[in-house]
Amino acid sequence: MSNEIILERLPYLGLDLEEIAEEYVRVEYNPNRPDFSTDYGIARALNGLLGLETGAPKYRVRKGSLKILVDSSVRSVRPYIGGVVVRHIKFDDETLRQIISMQEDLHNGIGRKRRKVAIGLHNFDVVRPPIKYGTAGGEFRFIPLGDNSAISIKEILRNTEQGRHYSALLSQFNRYPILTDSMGNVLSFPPIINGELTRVTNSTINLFVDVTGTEMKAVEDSLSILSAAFQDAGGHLESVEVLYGKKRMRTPDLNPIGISLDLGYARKLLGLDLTSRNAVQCLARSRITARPLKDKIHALLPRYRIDILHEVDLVEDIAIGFGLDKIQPTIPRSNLIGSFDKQLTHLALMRETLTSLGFTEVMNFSLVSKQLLRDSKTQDEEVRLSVDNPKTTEHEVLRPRILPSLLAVLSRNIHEEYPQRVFEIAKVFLRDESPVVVSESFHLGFSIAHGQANYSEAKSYLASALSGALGIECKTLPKDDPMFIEGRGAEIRVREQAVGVLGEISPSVLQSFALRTPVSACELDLTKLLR
Amino acid sequence: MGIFRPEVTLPLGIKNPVLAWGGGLERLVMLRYGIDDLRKLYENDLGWLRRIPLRP
Repeated sequence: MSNEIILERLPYLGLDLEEIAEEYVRVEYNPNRPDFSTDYGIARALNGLLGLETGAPKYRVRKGSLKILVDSSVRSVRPYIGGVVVRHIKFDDETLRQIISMQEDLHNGIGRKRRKVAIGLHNFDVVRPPIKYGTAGGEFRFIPLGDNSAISIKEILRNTEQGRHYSALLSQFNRYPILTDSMGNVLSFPPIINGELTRVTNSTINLFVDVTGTEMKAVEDSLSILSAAFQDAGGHLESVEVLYGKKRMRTPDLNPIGISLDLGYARKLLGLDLTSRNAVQCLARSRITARPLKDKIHALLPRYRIDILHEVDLVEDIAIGFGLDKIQPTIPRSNLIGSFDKQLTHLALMRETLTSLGFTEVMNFSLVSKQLLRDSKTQDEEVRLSVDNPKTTEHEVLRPRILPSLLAVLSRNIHEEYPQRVFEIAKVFLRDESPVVVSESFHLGFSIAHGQANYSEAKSYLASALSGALGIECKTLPKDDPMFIEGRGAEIRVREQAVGVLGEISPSVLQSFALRTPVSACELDLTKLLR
Repeated sequence: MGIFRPEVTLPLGIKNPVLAWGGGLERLVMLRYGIDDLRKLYENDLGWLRRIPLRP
């Protein structure tokens, strides 16, 4: 199998090629396919697509004798556990690297940064069964991985790297999950750190894998993906019995999952004239075993396919098995003509008119800082929409008007030539009572800055813009606004409706924005105007 | 690009398949104008805005 063929097909599995080197290629996989976190998983899928090995892979799990006894005290802390024993695994550097990489990806993905799922790998040969999963107090001591003397759980949480990183997951508890063997030796302290005793090295032959977590399904899904990879890596899987008091469970369960698909649905969605036999063949290339059952297809999914939630996912796998590059584009039979939204057509005309009048269009973000609104003396804080826990102060509030952002633009351009005439047409946001919590409107804002900028000039441009773009006239009535010089502000009225403001920016606002020329400005509610 | 999952469209009362595709225009603009920093398009630098040609 040449490298060229492999590289050519990989993207059709949904893998992005990021880097191609002599000995390796770096690919990016979607988090919905955690089985692609190792070469084994990718090879499995590629074998199917290339027709070398089709249908669901077979996994053999021998019934093992290892038991995990679960103490009820874990129920309120980290309730679920599953495990598998892997025998005769050859841990060369590459295999070890793959497994650790998969463990990390599962921790961050399904595991939600170890909260939902945490995985421990142990050298099974030093473990004395049965294994006990229970809790211990903060003073409990053991030798953690990487150390040579015993320290307490409290110290681990405070002083070790993993402890500090993940201690938040346990901050509400005063008893901590602990996995021990029958001699009281510690295998691990999930989800934080393993014990040094069961360290895995190149010479490890028999492995015990523990998966603990807060959701049983997530634990079982992760265990299934791990087990499949271990078998593909050459190990022999042995099941483990988990005893939750009287309830007994055997893990891993790698039995395939059955799901039905309506063939007509697949044909319609794909636009392909597939027979049941075609569909079965395509699924086989996606490593899914299927058989026709009247007008349905009954499929058996390998246990690691946790991404298949609905019939549509099977349809996608048919398409992948068919070959996404083999699907021919066809001209749709319906003739639909699209056209521009009426409101947007008017807005586009307004933009063109202002540009023709000599204004430069600018674009600002919808999220602004509270400081910006303070500097521009913007009122009405009750109707503002703020971000909960903003990441930066630059993006705290959805802007209720355009002018503050325009003043900021002028502020950033004081070294550019004057006159400066800028405009923006964009959405602004206000809190509403009913029926929707947020009311969005398109506003036009424009600002004029130069030595002689004044109210009359702004009014004249406003009149030209309204008549040129919309064929309408407006009236202005004196109205003060904290942003404008007292006596130099006005309300804009069209057809007796208040639709905006116009005025000369006050010196104190100019000062907040470090502006050294007079500025006249206007803001119009276009959504209101166009209704 | 793709087809919306039924779990997304059904709650909105849509029973037919919904196709969708889209892309950012910024990258095309960057290629056309020879810009290598996306943020340049959002700086509102009047000097730059005044100089760039309408059709490069």
